This record gives sequence, C-alpha cells and structure tokens, in this order.
Amino acid sequence: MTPAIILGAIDLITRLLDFVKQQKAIAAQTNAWSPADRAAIDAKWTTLQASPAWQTDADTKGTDATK
Amino acid sequence: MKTNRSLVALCLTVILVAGCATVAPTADPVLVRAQQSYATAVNTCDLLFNIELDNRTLIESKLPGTHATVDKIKTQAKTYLPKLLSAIDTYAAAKTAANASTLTAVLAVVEAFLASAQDLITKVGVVPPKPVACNAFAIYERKAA
Repeated sequence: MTPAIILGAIDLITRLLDFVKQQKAIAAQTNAWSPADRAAIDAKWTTLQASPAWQTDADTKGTDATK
Repeated sequence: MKTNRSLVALCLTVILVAGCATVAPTADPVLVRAQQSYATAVNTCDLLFNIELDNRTLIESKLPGTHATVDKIKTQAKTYLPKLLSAIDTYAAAKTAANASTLTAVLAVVEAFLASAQDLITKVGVVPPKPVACNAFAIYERKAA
C-alpha cells in the first residue's frame, strides 16, 4: 500500500467519521425545528445545489451547452 | 479495507439508531421523524455524491454502472427533497390527515432512494480510495524507485 493510498483512505475515513457525527446530531433531535434550524436547512440546501458533487450529467451538459 | 468496511457498517448503524431516538413529550413524532429523515437523506446523499465525484474513475472501473445509479439518485434527491421539505412545512402549519398523508407519501419515495444511496455507500466504502496528490510522497516514491 503506497503512502498516497494511505492518505486516500484517511480522507475517506475522515468523511465517514464526519458523517457519523452529523447523524448523531440528527438522532439527538427531540423537538421540531426552530425557525433558526429551518433557516439553516434552507441555507444548506442552497449551498448543496451549487456544489459540483450535486450536479447531474444533465446539469453539466446544460452548462456546457451555454458556453 | 477492513477498517473502511467497519466504518461503513458503523455509519449505517447510526442511521438506523437515528430512527429509534426519543421524541419530547410535547413534540409531534410524525413531524420530528420526517425532519430527521430529511436531514439524514441530505447528509447521506451529500456523502455519496462527494465520494463518487472524487473517485469516479476508480469506482467506475471497480463497480461499473455506479455513476449512472448515482446520477439517478441525484435527480431524485433534487426533485423529492424539496417536496419533502414543503410537505414538512405544510404539515407543521396544519396537522390535518390529508397533509399527514401527503407527507407520508413523499417520505416513502425519499426513503426508497435513500436505501439505494446507503447500499451504494456500503459498496463504494470497500473500494480502495483514490490516491491523493502529495508532492512530498511523490519525491519519496521517486527516491525509492
């Protein structure tokens, strides 16, 4: 196993641990969202929509077609 | 990749446990569970989409067809997650049987593609991740060669 692959594995493990942390926070929810929580949800959705990871092939092709 | 497999199993266990947590006596369990499902779906999709984007070539070589499946999940997520959020808001504003029914129906669709996303994370989690570019190690490897 090369050092580069070890670094890649560390990157994946870090992402998975971060995901576990987020899921624990979700599991701890006992009440409905507050207005601040709801605003944060909208903000996160807006951020995700702009993220390259969330672009479908159709979105990417549409962007390329306009260039 | 034993560690990766264990971590993926841990992640999925946390997802399952999320559905078993207690809800405050004054809170509406339907609403809280729907909100938890929404947040879980967003986080799960985001994890899958980012891992797939960063390791697309490697994953496609090991698990052909994964990109097409992820693209389909993206389309569903972009369509149904806003619908779920809208159904949650509508139900929170007026807790009628009709609104509860709509919420349940949208939730069922979201849970279906969420299951596909979780399944893919399990598969992708056991694929060795892409090498990360690092000049220091590149120098080390050149010397070793």
